[in-house]
Formats: sequence, C-alpha cells, structure tokens
Amino acid sequence: MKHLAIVEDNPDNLMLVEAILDGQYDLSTYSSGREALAGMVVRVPDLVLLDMSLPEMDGIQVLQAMRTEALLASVPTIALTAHAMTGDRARFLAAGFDDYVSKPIEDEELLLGAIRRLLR
Amino acid sequence: MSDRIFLVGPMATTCLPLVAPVPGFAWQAEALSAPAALAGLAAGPVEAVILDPSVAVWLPQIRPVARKAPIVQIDPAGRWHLPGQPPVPVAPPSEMLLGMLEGWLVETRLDVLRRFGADDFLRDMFDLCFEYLPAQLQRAADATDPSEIAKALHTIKSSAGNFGLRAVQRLCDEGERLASATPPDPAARTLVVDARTAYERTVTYLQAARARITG
Repeated sequence: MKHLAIVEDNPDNLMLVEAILDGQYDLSTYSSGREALAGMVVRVPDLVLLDMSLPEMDGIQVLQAMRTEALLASVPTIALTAHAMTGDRARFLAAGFDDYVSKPIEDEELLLGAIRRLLR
Repeated sequence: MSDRIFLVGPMATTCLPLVAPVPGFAWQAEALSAPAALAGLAAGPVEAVILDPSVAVWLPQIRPVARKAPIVQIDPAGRWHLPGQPPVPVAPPSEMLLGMLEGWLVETRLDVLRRFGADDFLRDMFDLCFEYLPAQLQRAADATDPSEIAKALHTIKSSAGNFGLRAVQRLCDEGERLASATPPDPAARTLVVDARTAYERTVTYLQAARARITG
C-alpha cells in the first residue's frame, strides 16, 4: 500500500481527508511543517498532501525545504488550500507543486484522481 | 449536487442582498441592472441568481440542472412563494429567508459529507465543529495583530466550508482579505463579530442534523 503524508493543522480538514483516503493508502499525519519535515525524512512518503496555511512555515516554505532535502526532493506534492482564488492553480504549480486541490473538498474523485495520476 | 438558488420574478432584483451568501449565475444581461449590482455576466459566477419572469418558460429545462435547489417564486404582486410554505404577501424578514437558505446549504453539504464516511464519521465531524469553531472565533476576537486575525479567519473559513456554513465562510473570506491588506483595514474586526453572529445563527442547523445521528 502506498504511503501518503498529510500535512494539515485544521482538525476537521484532516478528519475529512483521512475519511476519504482511509483503507486505500497508508497515512501519516502532521500538523505543522516542521513536524512534517522531521517525520518525512525518517519515513519517506510516496506522496504529500500539503496544506498552504500552516503555523510557523507556510506550505510553500515547507515545499522549498523538501526540495532541498535529498530524500524528499522528488516526492510528488499536492497543495491543499482554502484560498480558491483565480490563478491559484498556476501560482502553486509555478511554486513547484505537482497539483492543487481546493478546500472544502466537494468531490472526492478530484482528490483521488490527482493522487492516482501522481502515483502512476 | 447543485449549489444554487433561483429567484424568479420582476422583484427578484430587490432580493439580492438577502441571498448574497449564495453563489450563483446571472442568466441574462438584464440581470446586470443597477439594482442587481451584479459583478459578472452569465459566463461566470456572481453573488446571487437573478432571473427575468420570462424565464419561467425555461424552468422545465432548469430544474434538472438545479436538482435540489429551492426555487423562490416572486409573483407580480410581490408575493413570495417559498418552498413548502404558503405565499407570503410581502418580502419575508431577511432572517426567515436567510434561515431557509442556510438550512438548505447545510443539508446540501451534509449530503456531500455522507459520501465520505458513515454516521460515526459525521458524528465526530460535528462534535469537532462544535468545539473547534467557537474556539477559533474566540481566537479571532482576542487577536490584536492583524496577521493573527487573518490566520484565525482563514482557519474558520476553511472549517465553515466543510459544514456548508456559507455566510460564515464568506464573512471570514472578506475579513481575511481586509486583515491581510497593506495597511490592514480595521473593518476586519467588524467582520469577526459578524462571522460569530452568523455562526450562532446557523449552528442550530448543524445541531439539528447532529441530533438526527444516532449515538
């Protein structure tokens, strides 16, 4: 079973994403960027779901730190954000994310489809 | 599931401020009249739905699209026909209409959540909401630094979206934008108060839904 890391500080968002992915993927969860960076080098995930608005380090800073860490540099990473503004997708892809899913999640297939594409 | 409400009738433009929390589409250029104050044309989402009375002939075609969306009929005499209720001779109090819309939005969102998990998941989500959202609203109210207000409002916006609390979501989005502006707009603090009021008004729908779940 593929291993996914979810980095999300909002407990109801985390509960919701876990409910969607439960049983399909092996999940590790982190509530801050620092915690995630420390944990993911110990157990490297196959894919990361990364919230943009995190305490201390935001999602882009976490991604930048991942890309400078050899173990995590090539791990596909999906941005999760409640910003949902026009142009967000292009902005996050330009920042180095592999895909982008907006919150609240309305259609689980959008999330699952993005994960499947990147794990192929 | 559709996430729109349809206002039908010559007086529909006057109702737009009441349905501002509901996203929708303008269906014709006349909808862009001054009273409507819409920001977009049929091509894009705008703040509310507006239809000319002539569109009544379209309704059979619209209904399959709208699915569960309530249709509020406003007849030429100005009477309101709310779903499942007798005609109201004048525009109902905004609280009544808002209540109807917000209850519907919550139920719509719950239909989505039910796809993600069974009753135990829903119960845990509700219980978390009742504990977490008031705490975050308090955090926003207590914050003195605009960046802290913005962060708290962003968190509330995200959680409110998970439960279909669209008015809370919209107010927090606006408050976050104001608090993040350069320089920060002090009006953000007013929106924190408004968001709390909207939460207290709409949480009753979530409580009612929670009560329907066994266990």
